[in-house]
Amino acid sequence: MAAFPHKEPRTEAFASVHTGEQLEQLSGIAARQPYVSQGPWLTAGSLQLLQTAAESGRLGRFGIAGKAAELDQLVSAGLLTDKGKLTGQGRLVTSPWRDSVASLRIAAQFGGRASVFQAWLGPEGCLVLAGPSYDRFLAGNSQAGHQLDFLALGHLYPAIAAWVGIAPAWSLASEPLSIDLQTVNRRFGGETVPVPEGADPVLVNMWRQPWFIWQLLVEPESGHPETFINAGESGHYHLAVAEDRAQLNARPSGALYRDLARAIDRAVHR
Amino acid sequence: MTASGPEDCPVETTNDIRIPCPAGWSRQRTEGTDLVLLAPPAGNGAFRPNVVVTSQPYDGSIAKLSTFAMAAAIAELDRAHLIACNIWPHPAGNGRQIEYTHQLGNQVLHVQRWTFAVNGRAVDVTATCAATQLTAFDELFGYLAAKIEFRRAG
Repeated sequence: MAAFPHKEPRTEAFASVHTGEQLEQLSGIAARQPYVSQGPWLTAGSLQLLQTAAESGRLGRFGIAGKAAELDQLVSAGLLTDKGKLTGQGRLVTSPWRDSVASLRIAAQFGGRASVFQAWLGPEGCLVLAGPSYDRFLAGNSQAGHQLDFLALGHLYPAIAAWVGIAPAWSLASEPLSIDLQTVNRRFGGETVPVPEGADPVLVNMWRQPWFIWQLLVEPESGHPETFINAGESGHYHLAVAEDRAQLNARPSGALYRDLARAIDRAVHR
Repeated sequence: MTASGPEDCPVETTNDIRIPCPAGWSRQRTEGTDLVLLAPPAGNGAFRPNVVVTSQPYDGSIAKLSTFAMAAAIAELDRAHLIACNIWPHPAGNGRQIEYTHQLGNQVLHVQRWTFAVNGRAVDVTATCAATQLTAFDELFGYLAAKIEFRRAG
């Protein structure tokens, strides 16, 4: 039988005051569940080398000439031999490049800096290349490069959830507000942009959070990608755009997770 | 794998609640639980989705119960990732819907947990499937959760 603590939990200040209910603190959870991968960090040069090797099985003498540092990363990761030939592991990990049923790409930005998460879904597993994740940007620790991983399909769901920072948050209803798209774009760029006129307290609070903006593209299939904003303690928002106006609509984290899960499922069972 | 439809569900009861049992699912006796409902085996070693009801004496706030449930998931499960915590309104008293994934062996499981502080008790209804099964079972789990009835009026 569980021993319940005596103390009442901390409450989420804004959400509790706004709703008049005792709402437990949820902010801070995202930072405690980072994107975790055991895979190696690769530079753009190493990645290019790996792609060339994956296409032809090996890099020729000329392929590796002058690229000792790039080759070294791949040899240390167990993907290539020091002669530039794919290892068994290297063949398995890169197999989705040759034989993928679908691929997905999440393009993100935070404070004007970009990152990307890519996954190629193959019969043997998913090849993942992950740039800096939400938690790294939040912690100011967004090193360049891509972390390579090879995951079973089931592991892709929490990996993406962690990468974009899906976590519990109090998604509060707000009054719809039509905002000039240019204003939103400047806010995307990380500039200090005043809160749009007519914003209610929920939108004001959301506007002041750090924003991690992302779009999901699934190949083949995708139409126009949807834009989502991870607005920290304010939760997640979908950006609805019509011509030069935009509207920010709360998207509860559970619903957003299902958007992602359905996108993966559709890609796999197409 | 497809989930059975919610039609014609017989109702299963514990001391605290009544909940529908999906067609073809079986009720199991498991120590430490009030009720376990198990999906029929699907073969190929696929995870068998299940619903577990537990309860214990509790007279604190739902906020504390929710915080405790989330902290326990993080502390006790392998690579738990919390997805959501939502207010789950119920005529008997407010509850929470807490959602997370975690790893069990080589599988990633998806858990939805409806937790209530009602009638001096903490009652948990936990629905689990594999991460890859959520799209198939989500509607059924949502239906079961919406049909939870407390046996003693609060």
